[in-house]
Amino acid sequence: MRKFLLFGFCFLLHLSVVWAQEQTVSGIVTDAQDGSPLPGVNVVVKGTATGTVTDASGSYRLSIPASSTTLVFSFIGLVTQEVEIASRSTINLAMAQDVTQLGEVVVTALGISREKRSLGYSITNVNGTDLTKGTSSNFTSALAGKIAGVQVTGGTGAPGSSTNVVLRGYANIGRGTQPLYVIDGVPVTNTNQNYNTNGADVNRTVDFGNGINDINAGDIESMSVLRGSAATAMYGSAGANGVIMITTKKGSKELAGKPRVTISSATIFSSLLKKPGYQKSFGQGWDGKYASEENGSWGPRFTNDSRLWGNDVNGSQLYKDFSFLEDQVSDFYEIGTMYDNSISVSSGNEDGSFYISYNNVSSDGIVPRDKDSFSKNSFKFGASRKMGKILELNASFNYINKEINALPTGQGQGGSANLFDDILQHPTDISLVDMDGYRDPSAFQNPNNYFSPYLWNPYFTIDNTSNEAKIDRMIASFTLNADIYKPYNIKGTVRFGGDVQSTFGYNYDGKYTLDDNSVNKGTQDDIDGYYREFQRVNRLYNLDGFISGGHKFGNISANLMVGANMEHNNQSLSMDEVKSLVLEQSFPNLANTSATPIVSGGFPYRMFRRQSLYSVLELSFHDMLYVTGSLRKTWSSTLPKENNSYFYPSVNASFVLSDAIEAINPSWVDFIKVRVGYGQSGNDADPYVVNPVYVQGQVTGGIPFSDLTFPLGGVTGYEYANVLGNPNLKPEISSDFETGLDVNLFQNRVGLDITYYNKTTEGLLLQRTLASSSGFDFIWDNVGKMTNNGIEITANFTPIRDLGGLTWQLGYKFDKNVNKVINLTEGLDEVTITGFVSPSVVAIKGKTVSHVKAFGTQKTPDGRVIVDSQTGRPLATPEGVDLGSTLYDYTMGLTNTITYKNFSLFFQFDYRHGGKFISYSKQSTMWTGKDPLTAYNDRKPFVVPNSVYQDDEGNYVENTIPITTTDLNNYYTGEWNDQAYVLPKTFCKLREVNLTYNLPQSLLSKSFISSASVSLVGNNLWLWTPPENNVIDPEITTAANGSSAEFGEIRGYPSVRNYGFRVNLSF
Amino acid sequence: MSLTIALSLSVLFSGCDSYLDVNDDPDAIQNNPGVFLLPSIEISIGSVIGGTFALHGSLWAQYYNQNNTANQYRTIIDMDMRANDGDNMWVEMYSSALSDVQKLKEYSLATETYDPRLYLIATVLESYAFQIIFDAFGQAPYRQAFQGEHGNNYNPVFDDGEEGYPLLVEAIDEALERYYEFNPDGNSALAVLPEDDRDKDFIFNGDITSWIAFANSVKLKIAMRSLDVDAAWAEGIIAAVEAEGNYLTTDAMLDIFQAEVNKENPLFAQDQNLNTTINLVANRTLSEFLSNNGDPREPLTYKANTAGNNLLDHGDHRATTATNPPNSNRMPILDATRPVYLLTTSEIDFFRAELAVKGLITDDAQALYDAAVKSAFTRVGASAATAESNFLAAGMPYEFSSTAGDQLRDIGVQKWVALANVNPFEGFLEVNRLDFPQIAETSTYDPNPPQGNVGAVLYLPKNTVLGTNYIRRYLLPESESVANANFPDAQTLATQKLWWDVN
Repeated sequence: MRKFLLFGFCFLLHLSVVWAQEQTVSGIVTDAQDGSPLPGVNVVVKGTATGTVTDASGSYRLSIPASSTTLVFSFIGLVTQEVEIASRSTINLAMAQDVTQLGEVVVTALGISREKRSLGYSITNVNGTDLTKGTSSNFTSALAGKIAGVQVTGGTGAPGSSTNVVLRGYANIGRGTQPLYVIDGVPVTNTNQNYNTNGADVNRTVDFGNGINDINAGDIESMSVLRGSAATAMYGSAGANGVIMITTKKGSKELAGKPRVTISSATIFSSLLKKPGYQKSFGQGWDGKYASEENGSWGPRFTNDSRLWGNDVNGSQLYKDFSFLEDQVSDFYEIGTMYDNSISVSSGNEDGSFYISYNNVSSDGIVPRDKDSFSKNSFKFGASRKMGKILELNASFNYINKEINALPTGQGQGGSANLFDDILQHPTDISLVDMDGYRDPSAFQNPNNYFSPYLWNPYFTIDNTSNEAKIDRMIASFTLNADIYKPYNIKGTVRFGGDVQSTFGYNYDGKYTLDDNSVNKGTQDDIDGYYREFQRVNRLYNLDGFISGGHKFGNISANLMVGANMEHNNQSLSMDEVKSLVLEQSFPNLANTSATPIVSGGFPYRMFRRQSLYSVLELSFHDMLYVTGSLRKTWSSTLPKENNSYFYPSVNASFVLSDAIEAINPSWVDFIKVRVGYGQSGNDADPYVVNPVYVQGQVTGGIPFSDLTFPLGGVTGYEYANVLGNPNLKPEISSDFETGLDVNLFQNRVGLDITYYNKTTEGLLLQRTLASSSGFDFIWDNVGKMTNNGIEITANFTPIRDLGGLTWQLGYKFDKNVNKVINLTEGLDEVTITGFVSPSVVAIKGKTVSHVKAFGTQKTPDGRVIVDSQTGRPLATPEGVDLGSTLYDYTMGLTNTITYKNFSLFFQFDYRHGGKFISYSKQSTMWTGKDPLTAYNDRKPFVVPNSVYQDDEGNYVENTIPITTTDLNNYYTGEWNDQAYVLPKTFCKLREVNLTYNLPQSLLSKSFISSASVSLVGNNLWLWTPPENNVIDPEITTAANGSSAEFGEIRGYPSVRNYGFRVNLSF
Repeated sequence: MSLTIALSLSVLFSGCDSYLDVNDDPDAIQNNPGVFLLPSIEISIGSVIGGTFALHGSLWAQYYNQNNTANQYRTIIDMDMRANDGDNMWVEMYSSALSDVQKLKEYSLATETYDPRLYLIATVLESYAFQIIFDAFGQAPYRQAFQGEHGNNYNPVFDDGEEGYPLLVEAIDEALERYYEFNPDGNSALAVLPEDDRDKDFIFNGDITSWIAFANSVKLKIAMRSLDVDAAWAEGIIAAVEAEGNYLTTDAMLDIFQAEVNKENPLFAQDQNLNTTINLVANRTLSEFLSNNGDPREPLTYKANTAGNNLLDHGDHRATTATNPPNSNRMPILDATRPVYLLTTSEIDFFRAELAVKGLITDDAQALYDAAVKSAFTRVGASAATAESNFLAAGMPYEFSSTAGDQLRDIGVQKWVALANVNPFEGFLEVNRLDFPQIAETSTYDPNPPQGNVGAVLYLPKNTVLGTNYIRRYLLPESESVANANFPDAQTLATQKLWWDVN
């Protein structure tokens, strides 16, 4: 941001004239945050016009009258400082960011800079350096807990995994929640690099990351987050879920042709953050008895004696202690590594500038081997050039090449296992880390000799599966600015952007056949093997043209902009798969089969386009009252032709109270602004849902894996799609009201920003169910209405400012969003979003869009548990019971920044409260008797408390049938207990820590280095969860960032803590 | 400059309409593909008849059993019916097979693509399918079905099977009439689909003469079902088709399944591709009946399991592993390439034998019965000669009895046997209609059943939830109930006999 503002300020400051040469002061001004030199800082002798600006290396030299006592250093966005000269000739200064951002200029929709005071809506700016503080592999995860109204969920601990960003709650039902990302005015794609249309399905998922995290965080100068419709209306449908605008770094004019080189290098280690909590009393076995082939910990109490174990191989058998292994899981995982290195070169002068960067990230996660790894190379080139007096051309290219290996989670497919489920199911007395070295056919760990036919050796599972994606991506933009007519400030811009992304990926499970004489043969299934490859191409082209002009009429100034936009979006995804392989050696290829490869699923080609006209009128009165109105009309290809356009009006006002009313403006009040905004935004339909079509025939069997696909016997067939086209579709329309207050007090030591919003979305688009007898199963329709309202609070407090070099700044954010589904299809009270019969996630009329339902216990009217009259086990309710929303009640963040001389310490907590998630990791530990709950009553027989059963006459009779030891597994895994896998989502995390030492200028001034810093960094360092959640980090999701991302996890990759160091150099 | 920008923008926007005209899925077909709908229709119907219906029919007709070490189909065999048990068949029939039938009819009647041959094929398949829907559920939308697109009727009213049956026959007659108008002189070139289209018809390779025989056979089947409830109407239909005398001479079947994933026989696929161990095993009821009579079809229907040759009583899925250890129960022979039979010549012969016994036709009942049994033998790989000499000849177990009552029993029992592994759901329906084999009011087997047809008895499942009742139909499907406002208020019980099952 600061560098962006240089344009304006360098002109003003050329008035500096040298007067009497009585004294010379010089020095270097640096950024308190990262120690980098600050060019363009205004240095003025207090009370005079004498002054200068710092040059590209942050240096200044100023001749001043002898009478001068004080220098004033100022720069927009930084805290203005007055320094006593006290006859010094060298004054170096570190300037801190002005957290109140008073007078700050922010980048708003379409890349237009505006003074923040004039905006009638909430907008939050994040500095690029804040995104790299914790050094996570995904820069969007650095937003977590920092901004009110922004909810970032970090996905899993796997390198390169997706992050899920939700701005101000869910605005639709099951259609995705991701905001629009805009880089330097050009929208880019953020789709998953997966083989699913939207995120991933719950059954088996491989997370190859989402698009926006391809961007090199080091290239980001700043980021603006636009939440309400008043702010995003200019982006039309694409911005329906909010907009995150990224401004990338540019070459600075102040460098005057000299190059500036920055180098950044980080080394990060990762380790398991939360391991599942197990009962520590009972070991391997089933039904209370020891059984060395079992995958359960339902055995006898640990005896801590050494005993024979596993299968007999060639006449020998292993010994091990029958005791609980505390570090079973943590020993298995390794220390993950990430190396993040980047270099950038930039320069510029009056005529133009350039910026070049290269970034390499190479990472291997905590799972042994390298099946959880990724590497990324990013090259960026950006340049601007003035052409004559009127035109300026900006061009930017960013090429990204990424390779990612990920482990599958979710349910198994085709006989293969999920590594994380394998780990969760191994009895707690068996060392996992000793299972390596299984390849020798005579090894005890070899699958043929493996101790249990119900489990796979985790190392075998890792080796036998591979999932890889290779991604090439090019983002390019060209902007032509014209300064057409100065007196009326008429300017024009034409901007073209393109983002093309191509992914090749595959999923592979090797074929594996157990030997005929293996003890496990017959009980353990052979693995048929599976191979799928997919190619995915996303293209997004965007063209904007707009022209603006303004004039000041006395105390009223007006500015009008009109423009037009065209957007072209197409995606293709083709997949081929073979479901049973032939070769046992590793051969991930379509040729590894005797069957015909199946062209499966996907959407070979999807295209949609939009075009829009828009205009914005800005009025300001006495520079105190600002009113902005905008109108956009969009035509979309996805809506019925006759009725394919919709309007987005928005109006907002900002009133700077502190300037207007002297009476409420005592010396301790710096700034008070009230703002109010209203906007409407629309969202169009998915492509191809208006017209009915015919597709290649596919017959769905009554159970999975029994489908019939064409061609059959050399003949193909087509069928009428079972989704009825809807020629009456209308866009979803959201109406969004927001109001807020910005206050800065006590010389900006206290800042407060409060926003209240209320958003109503009508005509929710949903693929609703039709009665099959109508000839169709589904229709896309406008069915429902939903509201989101909430409050966002951001507060800043500086208890200590520059006290002997010590500054302490506190930042706090709070947000609460209340989501409510007002209605759904007539006669329909629920819509299933994801999951199985139980637990499932449903949108419920009168409640939120995302509730967990699971079977519970049947109860008598007076609340007694009804059990089965034969088994004494509770009877499950026939339908799921609502266990609450998956959405958080509220979230909070707390940041601390302490700077002392050349040191600065930053740490941040992220607290989220409420909500539920489904944990199949918990289900695995319940099933295998590892969860502490399963040790209830010391595993002695018990009668279900307060229970009755129904006798043959239908009367309730006091239950006396005990749950016996041999029945415990059936008891805990009964359907009635499905609710046990639904856990609270509440957590508190130490999200980021950064301790930086900036090498003093005194040390560097003689070298070619202009700034240098060393940081210890870390993220996700500490996690607290309520005791009910003893299993997994509630942020883990196995549905990437699709619309069902918040449901929870199906034996997901665990979360990790990351820590390491970073070195920054610039010269 | 501004003018230039304005101009260039207006140029860009002038292509407005065509720029936005991209909402046709390039991967979907926009226009009616005509005869290419036929393979989808046939396979959809076949996947239902030969898939879930075959599975449930095999359990209820006591051909197959639920293994005691697995639990996939326990509620089905216990007759503990859930409203969603019929969802798959209902949905696949309506929104896949029969909605495509409407499109094929539209195509065949359109002026530019006029071809009543396709209309006839579509209509025969539709009436065939609707009979099964009515027989499975008792009632279903017929007159108001498929109006989602043109009539915007998303809530079709249900028709009782009794009202629906005559409409099915009328539809076939109307389609035949159109065909005879199209080919009044019986031109043989017009009695078959154009050469390029023939392979789209998996059943009769485009031979319209066979389709007419199938049409008459379907009419006969509909009339036979109605015989006990509306004799006058049924006899009228029977007289008409008998006058024509043109029934199936080969089985109407789909014989195109391959031993490859997603190309397999649907019952095979359902059973074998589950991620579980053995689910379906042999049922003592049929297995013992066959072995009791030394019938060579027993080893052609069942095989030994890896660890044994045990038999489970009907529905005895709670048998312990002490009596029935894992992998010890006799198994059904399932085959990935086995055809799905829609209607067999045996069934026609059995129907006509029944008519002869009842005096409604003058043909020789025994000859028809013998022919039916012989072709049932050959269908599963046994020989007709063996059937003749060892089973049908005088004094042999399946000899046709002398009294009408016993003859009807012989027909019922042999029809039941003939439909095992062939069309099990039809086997279940005919047991209900003919009341042979009789269903005992016990689950305890007769330890020494008599040889011959008299020894065939069905038993109550060991863990029945219906007391001494037996299942007669599906509950109306849940998938329909959640979306159709005209779904009947009262759910019919699974023990409620169908309208035609009055005796």
